[in-house]
Amino acid sequence: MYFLAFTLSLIFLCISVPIFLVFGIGSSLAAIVGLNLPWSVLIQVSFGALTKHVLIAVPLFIFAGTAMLRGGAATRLVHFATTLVGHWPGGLGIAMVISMGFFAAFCGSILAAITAVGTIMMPKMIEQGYPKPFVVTLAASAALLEALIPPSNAAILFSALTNVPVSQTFAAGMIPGIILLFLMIAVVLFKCSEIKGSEKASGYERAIAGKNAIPALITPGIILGGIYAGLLTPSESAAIAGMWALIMGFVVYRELTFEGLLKCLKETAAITAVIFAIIATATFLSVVLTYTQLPQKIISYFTNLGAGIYFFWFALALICLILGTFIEIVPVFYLTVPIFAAIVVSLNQNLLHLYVVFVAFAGIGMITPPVCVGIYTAAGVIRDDPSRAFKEVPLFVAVGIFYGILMIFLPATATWLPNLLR
Amino acid sequence: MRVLSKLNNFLSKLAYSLAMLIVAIMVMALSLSAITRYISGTGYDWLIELPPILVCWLVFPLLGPILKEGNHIQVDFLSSLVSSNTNKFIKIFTNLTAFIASLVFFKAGFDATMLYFRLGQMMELELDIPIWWMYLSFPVGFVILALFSIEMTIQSIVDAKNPARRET
Repeated sequence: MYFLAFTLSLIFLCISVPIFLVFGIGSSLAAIVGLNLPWSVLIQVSFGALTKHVLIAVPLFIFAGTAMLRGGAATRLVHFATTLVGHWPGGLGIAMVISMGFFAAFCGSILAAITAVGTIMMPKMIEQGYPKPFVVTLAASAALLEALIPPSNAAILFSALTNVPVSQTFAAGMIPGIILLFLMIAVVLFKCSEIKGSEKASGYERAIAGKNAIPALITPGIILGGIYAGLLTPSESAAIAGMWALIMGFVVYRELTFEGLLKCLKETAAITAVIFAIIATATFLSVVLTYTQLPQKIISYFTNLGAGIYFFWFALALICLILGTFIEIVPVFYLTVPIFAAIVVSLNQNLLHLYVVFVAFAGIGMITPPVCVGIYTAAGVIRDDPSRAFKEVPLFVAVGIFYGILMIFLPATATWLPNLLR
Repeated sequence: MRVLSKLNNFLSKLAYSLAMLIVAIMVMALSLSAITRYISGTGYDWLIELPPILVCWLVFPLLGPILKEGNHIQVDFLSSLVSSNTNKFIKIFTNLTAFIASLVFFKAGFDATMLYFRLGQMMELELDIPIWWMYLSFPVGFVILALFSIEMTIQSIVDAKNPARRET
């Protein structure tokens, strides 16, 4: 029965049945027919997962991100970054990476970050002579910063799955996120050092751009400050970020309209439904894993094999790379993290280290064809054929793998800050 | 088909309106939760407890409309590898699978809701809300998904039979 469920899931996956249905059909077949469980158990567990308080932060951060995009905060941030580094060789590329890093820090949605920053930066870069495929791939890759730089939805999902406090997961992503940001800047400098920068902004222009960007720049401080000072829960800080985004949009920048607000609500609802539909049915799989004791069997297989921790990390890297190539990051989370987390705990490793290594390798899938939603979104922003960007993908994949290996061998990058803030 | 399409358009607007309202409530409830805690010193638990129970009514009713918009996460690589004729049949099969699955999940969700209705359990919250009220979102969502997927199945069959219509 398990083999049939697995084969059916694989077939449905290949013929483009939505992933939430693939999870639902395959797992319920294994649970209902294979394990003789009642439907009520599956549905109860599913609702238990959906109503976890920590997950409420996901739609709220998405709302904050879309409101900041429509309210003018993203424009100010990008303009400020451009006045700071735009005159350097490859300056616009660097400005895009920095803006993406900053916007990611309060946006919570990779695709919103690509759209927000890419809409402003990508046409400018192309105008200045940056090759289109490089611009598209850079935008998609830089958006990976969202998965690490807090507050990220990836961290929230990881916490929901492993019961690690969100504040710890947020802190774990900070230093690896900054390292990735510098790696991205290095790629831009390597590839685009011959492209001249824009005209250097005067001190006055920088000061004005900085002043205009202040309300947006303090947003991460409000979110993270509230959490680490113990004043707000992650969900509350996300809601406050949403309110702050509305204040910025309606009062400070005055670019948000009532129609814009309705669009923000609609986009948030749609993105949330897509993510949570997967969570709802992927938890059916967790029931199957619990009853079949598959994680325990894999752990005992690893133990009998005498495999060390590095064997595990490289197996994880390979699995994430393969799955990430075909499936997006949210389903990969729910498919693998419960098993990986059990193994990591049995090997006396830190779950925060798992989070950083996992995101590093699974995130590469955002830019590897055929399923590379980051590239499709970035190409859509400039109405270009996404397949043209594929030739630039190997460089970024190589950088991503290098970064992932770095994270495997440097667990302190993930654990030092959370320990400090504990 | 036209009636079904009109009904689904109406359901889509209804589901989106409900979902948008829920997002707005979630933002306001949790902001108020933080604010009132600092004003009153204690705050109100129900402001924290409300968003998680509303999220089910945000997610499930939107499954159908998002399916029609083609925005659910799915693996798309096969469509570029096979001929357009094969793609048409795959599309019919995919939509039919969604329809059958949604009927099965509807039945399962309905039975689970009835079970909790009979048990009369209440949520462990400040607000006295019956637990079946939350579970009801599951069958409601999947019956909406069934309506959308049958519309899409019929549409894909019509498209496969009628090349002229497909080109337009």
